[in-house]
Amino acid sequence: MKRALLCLLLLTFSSSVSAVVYVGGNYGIATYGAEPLDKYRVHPKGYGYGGFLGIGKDFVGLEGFYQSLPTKGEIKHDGGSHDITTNATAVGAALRFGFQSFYLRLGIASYDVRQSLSITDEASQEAATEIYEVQEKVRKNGVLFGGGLHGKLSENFRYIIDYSRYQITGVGEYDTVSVGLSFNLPERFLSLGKY
Amino acid sequence: MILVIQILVLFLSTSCLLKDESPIETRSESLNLIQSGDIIVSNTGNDSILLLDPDGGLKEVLVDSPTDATLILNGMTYDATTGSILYLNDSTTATLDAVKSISLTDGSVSTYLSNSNLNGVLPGLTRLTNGNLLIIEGTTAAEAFSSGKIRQGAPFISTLINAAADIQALSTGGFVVCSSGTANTVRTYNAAGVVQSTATSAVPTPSLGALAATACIQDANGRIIVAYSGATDAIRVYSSTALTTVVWTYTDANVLATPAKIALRPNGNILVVDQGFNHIVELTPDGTFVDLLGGAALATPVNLVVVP
Repeated sequence: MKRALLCLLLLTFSSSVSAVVYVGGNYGIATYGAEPLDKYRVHPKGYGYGGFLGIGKDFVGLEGFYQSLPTKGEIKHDGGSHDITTNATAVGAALRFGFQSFYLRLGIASYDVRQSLSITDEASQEAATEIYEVQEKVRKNGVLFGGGLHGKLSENFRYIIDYSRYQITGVGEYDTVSVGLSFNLPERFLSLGKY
Repeated sequence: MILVIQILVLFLSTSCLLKDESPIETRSESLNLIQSGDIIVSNTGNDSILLLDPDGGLKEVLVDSPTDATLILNGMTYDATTGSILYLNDSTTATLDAVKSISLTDGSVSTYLSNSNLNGVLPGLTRLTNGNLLIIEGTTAAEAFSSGKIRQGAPFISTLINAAADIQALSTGGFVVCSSGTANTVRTYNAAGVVQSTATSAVPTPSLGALAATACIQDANGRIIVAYSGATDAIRVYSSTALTTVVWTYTDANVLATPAKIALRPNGNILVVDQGFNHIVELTPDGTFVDLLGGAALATPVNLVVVP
């Protein structure tokens, strides 16, 4: 699988078509799911943004990305309602396979997970932290995959409507639905393909 | 472009709305999860056992088995001997049939009794005053196990009743059995397993026609309460274990469409789970409607127990 992917990349980026450097950003809704939260019907959600910078040739793009995943949900514990914060940021690399009106994306990421829960009573805080398996400050690896629709707004601008799943190994997963813009940098800014 | 916007709106709507359920209350173990007056309900729709507060609000999911058409959670009872809730894990895979126990301290589940003779349909169980645990086996027989889990008899009763649906201990030492058949639908037995009296939905009068009995239980006044289901769905109270006199009959097709099992509150109020409406109907001891409980939490409920 890895060899096939490498061959595809080499073939793509060594073809006669010149490469394009693109940059973009997105903003949208994120929902977080994890087994201990799903069990008690807790579904944190929030709004996050992201950015990416990539190089593309033919229909394949290789990009680095950043995505913020701030989410919050309500738990009911020991007779009270409290907020559980399940934030994370993702930094990683992905392959983007672009077609006429849609694209698919697949990548790996490093996640900075910061979850918190604040209950005044210390014993309740401790019990709830255990029940909901709160991950206070951890760095984990994972994957992302998704896809969406895109189309030209002008010669260099594209709109993007994206669905992605950011999956953190052993922790949980975020589903995001966002809108974004991507911009193809003109060659006069970056003289790629001339070397 | 319009199509794209429509798709976006659809994505956002489903993301926001699909999971919009209230969270379930969790508790620290030190606060005693299960408390007196709480209601425990088994659901066959999603193979779960839920803990409700006395007002019917969902507190916790105690048992959450993978949904399996072959698993039935019909039998459940409070067991003073072990201070726990016992329920029958009734599977079409005979080796999985077992009596399981739910701790009233922390809600944890463990296997109480597993025996190769418990291999048929297991619709009900009860603990008799002599300490024996009586279990309906295969709808027609009754297996008994001592408090030391030793099998009594082979089985204890081989022809208990046809199509047995429920079994409950009597304060006098015997037990009452009811049947989803339409003849001899309610029987009382003494502790030795000898039939004492019999009734159907037609006799004594007033007749309800030929109905199946889905549940039977004795209240603190020695009366026998029976749930009947069929052309008419009713809760009927007999004045004593003799089953000769009907005290009252409650019917209301708007709230009671498919009654299953019955439980009693400490104040004597009667709780009946209804599989058709997925709720619990509460009646006073004199048959007056009080309230509907459980609501959205229930999925084809089959049995319930009030924690003493």
